[in-house]
Amino acid sequence: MNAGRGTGPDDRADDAVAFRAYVVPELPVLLRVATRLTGDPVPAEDLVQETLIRSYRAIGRFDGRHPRAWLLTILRNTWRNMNRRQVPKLLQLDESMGNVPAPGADGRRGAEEQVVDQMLNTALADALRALSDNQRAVVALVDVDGLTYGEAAAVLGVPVGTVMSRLHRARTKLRNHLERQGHPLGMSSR
Amino acid sequence: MSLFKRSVRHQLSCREVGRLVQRFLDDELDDADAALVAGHLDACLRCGMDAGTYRWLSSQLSDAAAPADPRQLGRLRAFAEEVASGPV
Repeated sequence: MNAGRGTGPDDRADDAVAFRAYVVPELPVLLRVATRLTGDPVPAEDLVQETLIRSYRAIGRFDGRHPRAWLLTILRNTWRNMNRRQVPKLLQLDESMGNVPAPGADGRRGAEEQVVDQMLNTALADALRALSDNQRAVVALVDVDGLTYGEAAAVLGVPVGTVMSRLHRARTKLRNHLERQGHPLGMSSR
Repeated sequence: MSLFKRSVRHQLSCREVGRLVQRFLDDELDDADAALVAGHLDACLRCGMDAGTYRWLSSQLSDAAAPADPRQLGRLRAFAEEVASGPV
């Protein structure tokens, strides 16, 4: 595809254009996913930096399709190279997951609604804790971080079908857990 | 590629929709299958309510996304610009 591509000034200029067009817009997602993989903001930043360098070097071979999935694959491979023997911290319960944002923002919610929201926070956090690590990981990537199935699969290094089945099971479990706790799903003031 | 190669198939059962509804809500079905699921959800109260439940659950979770640290993002943008501008 890029036979005869050299490292002359025109190629470097093309690389810079492609890098700014495809890679830079994905920085927020890369940082978010890197933070899930490392469980800590400092190594997350290192991981993203290393990913940026590798993606710049590889951008000449990138066909322009699915930049996010392409970058997340590089991110995952970089992370694995940096941490050969470690288990992903991705799978830890993120304290922010399950926290519905404080209702004070729009000022229209009464005390009763705030109590309901708080109970939901706790119930949702409990429900998330009851998931398996693998199930929680796919919920984190797809539902919280907004990745597609293919992008989540790239981060986890599993087939898309695996993401789909884990997600299906996870959401069914979450729903059942909340129903057993007596939460009126979807029928609250939200 | 459509999951449903049965050329005279116009409707899905509740059971089939139950298997597909999450992918439908995630926008991960092709147009033909999505249209079949959408049609069923419009017509079937129970499946429509299930879809509503999953949609609600998804929105609760996406609301829980922690905001990115703007300083970290700022540093990474600056780093990205260095990478783009110089030899690596």
